[in-house]
Amino acid sequence: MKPDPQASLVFQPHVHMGMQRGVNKIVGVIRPTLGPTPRVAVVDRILDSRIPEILDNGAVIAKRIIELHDRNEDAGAMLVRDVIEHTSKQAGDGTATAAVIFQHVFNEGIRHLSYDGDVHVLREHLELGATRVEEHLVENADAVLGSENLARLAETLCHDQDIAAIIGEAFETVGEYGRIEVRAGRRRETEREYVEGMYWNSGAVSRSMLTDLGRSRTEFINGSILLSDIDVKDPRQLFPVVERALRDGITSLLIVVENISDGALAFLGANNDPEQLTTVVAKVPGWGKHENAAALEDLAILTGGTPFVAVAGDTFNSITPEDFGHARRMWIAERTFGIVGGQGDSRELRRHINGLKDLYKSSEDQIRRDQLLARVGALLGGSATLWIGGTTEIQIEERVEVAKRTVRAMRGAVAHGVVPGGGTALLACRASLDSMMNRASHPDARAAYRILGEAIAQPFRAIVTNAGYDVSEKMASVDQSEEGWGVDARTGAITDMTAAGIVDAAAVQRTAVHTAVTSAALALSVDVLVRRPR
Amino acid sequence: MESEELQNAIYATSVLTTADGTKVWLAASMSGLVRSTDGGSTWHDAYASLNPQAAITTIAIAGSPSFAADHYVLSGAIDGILISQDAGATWSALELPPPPPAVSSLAFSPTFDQDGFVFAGTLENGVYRSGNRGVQWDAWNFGLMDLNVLDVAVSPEFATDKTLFAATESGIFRSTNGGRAWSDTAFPSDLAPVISIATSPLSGANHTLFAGTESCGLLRSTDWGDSWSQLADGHIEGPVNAMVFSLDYAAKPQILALVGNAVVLSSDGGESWSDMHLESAPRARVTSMAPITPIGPSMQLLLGLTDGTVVTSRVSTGTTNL
Repeated sequence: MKPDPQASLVFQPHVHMGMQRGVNKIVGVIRPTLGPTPRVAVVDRILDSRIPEILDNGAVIAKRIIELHDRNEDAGAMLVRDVIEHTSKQAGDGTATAAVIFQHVFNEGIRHLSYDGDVHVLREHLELGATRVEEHLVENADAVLGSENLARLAETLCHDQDIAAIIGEAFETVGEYGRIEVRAGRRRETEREYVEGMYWNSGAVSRSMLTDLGRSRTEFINGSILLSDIDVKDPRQLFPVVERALRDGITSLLIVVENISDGALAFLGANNDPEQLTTVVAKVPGWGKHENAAALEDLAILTGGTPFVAVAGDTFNSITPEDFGHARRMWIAERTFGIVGGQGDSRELRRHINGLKDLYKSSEDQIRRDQLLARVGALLGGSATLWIGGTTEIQIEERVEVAKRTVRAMRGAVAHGVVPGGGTALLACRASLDSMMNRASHPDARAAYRILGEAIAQPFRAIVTNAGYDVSEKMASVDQSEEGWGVDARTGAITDMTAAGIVDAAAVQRTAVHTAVTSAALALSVDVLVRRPR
Repeated sequence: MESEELQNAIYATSVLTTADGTKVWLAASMSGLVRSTDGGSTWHDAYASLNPQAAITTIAIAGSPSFAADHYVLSGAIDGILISQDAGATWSALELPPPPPAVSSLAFSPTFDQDGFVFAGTLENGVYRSGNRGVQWDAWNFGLMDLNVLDVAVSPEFATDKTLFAATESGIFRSTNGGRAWSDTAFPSDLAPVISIATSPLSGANHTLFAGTESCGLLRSTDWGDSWSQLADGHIEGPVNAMVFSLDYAAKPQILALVGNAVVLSSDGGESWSDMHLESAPRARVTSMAPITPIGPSMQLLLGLTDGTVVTSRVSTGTTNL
């Protein structure tokens, strides 16, 4: 970066003071949204004259706060915004939880540092403590089974009974990695549709190739597939394919290519004979070379075929019977084609899917994660499409967003289980931090565990306050109860949270704690703000 | 027809008892299904009422858990499922979604008389399920990465836990939602194929599952498939084609397994095993086994052989501990 002669520098204590004001402002807006009885924030529309937005979701509220007027405050607010955005992207929920934890760690951290605390020791032990909290959450997570329990969990995430019921059923049906698409419906009701088998977003190149014109699709029983990314310009390129297929007794063939000329299509059409050989052509699924190659790889493993790859110089002249893939059933429509019962090696398919799952788990990049998830979902053999309804277009739009977010959070919950909700699971982690504090001798380490212990109680405190109850009274009651008992914010009763169906996704809580604590600890180590002219 | 006249290997045998105590013996083979109601003295073509144009190769047979009352039997054929509601005397073919599946195994919900659930494992099409006593079938194979299903086992607490298992060429899959979606278990894939699978009669309480492999012996999981251990220190060799549990398993946890041509018994829920002695030595390889009498001192088995014959044999305690 070039030196900027116009840049101004801000030093302590103004850095922390300014950032603290910004953090408190943005968290002050988000804190009331925590829990099942959220207060709302009203945000002005900027670009049109529509009525203001009424929001109860921390991630959306944070997204709407573009900048604060005071530059020092803005630095703190944007740090919180980043924490919220990261938590939302990673876990789909837990944004308000992350925000209140961040706020407490940051505020109390500054207070401690003002008494000559060592920021490095503090930071190190805050992160160690966060790791212990995460471990505690993992150890105490329970699996969620059955559509009823899944629906109850979904409801704690989206507070919409209708959407929760349908998402619960979809997850029970397609599982943790299943393909669930959320789309805007055209009716008031929310509906769902399940598709058996694997399908790709690429359909027949020409509608005239479809044999069932009424349903706009062709179905093959015991069909074959030829995989390639070759651009077929000349009909003669396909002569060996048709000859080989006829010689091998193939009666129905799906040909996948990069592109095909009208002449080549006409050649196939002229040779289509239901008694001998029916062919349909589809383009390679995916956008761009990378996605094309991934789709060909998946299809090859699924069906046992061998792809012909243009950049490798492959042509169909060398085609052998083993190059064809096979499936018990295939269907080809105008925009999609699907495969049921691919005849590839099942062990190889399992290895391939497990490899993709590992990549998904280790990948940090959200786009890459989404692509990998789509591939795994497709290969696992089925998908659910949820059509979200509503009374107005705006309502549908908002509910679609809620449903998408809930689906993302549910994946984590189904994969990693649930913990008692309402901030109760985090309260239970305090004992571990207390024992870490008792073992620590360095005053900054002891301070770190004390601050973190108080910080992870903040979500509970916010939920109880938002529901209108006295925090001290409820905290005392919960402390005297068994582990896993907390406050049902709707009734105020002290209850066994899991038995009452009030649960949180363990993965969401982990992400919220990890992101909030590591970011707050980093923010505490900021000493100078370099302000560049806007 | 005498049992000796049966042609081709016997794929499955079954002994079912009606309310009046009549024992119905069934044996499935390449040439169809034969039935005897007089202890094997005479055998009849069970599919005769269908008047088939060609032999209906049959691979699997299963009687409903409430067979004594409903006389309900299903058979799995090379291209579909057949049903009998009169203890196997007459049969009709059920309609399944195309393409026609080769049905390798059949398993009823333990509370079939109330919920009507029955499952069919198939050789290329995964698991079919019916929730209305076999009238309609569909295949929901979400997550079932291997559609070559060799056996299916249903949890004894299916009514509440909706759990069942599919043994496949590459391992074992578990469904916890009544066969609509599946997930992989931790079964070591290098020990597959798994050709037989059974849930312990106490599984609802202890989540125990037994898996018989083609060549790597018998394995047990006590956590619904999350971890596995080999039984008898790997001394059980050969294909484990069938497993039978004692009727009073809670009091006497006995398991009888058909391993190749041998029958082995465990009296402690699979911890230790011993060879059993077949009083009538089979003259060909044994492919299937069904208990005529419950596991006990004078136990009698119905055995299907590769030469197409069906024989009975008493079983007595052997001398070798495995």
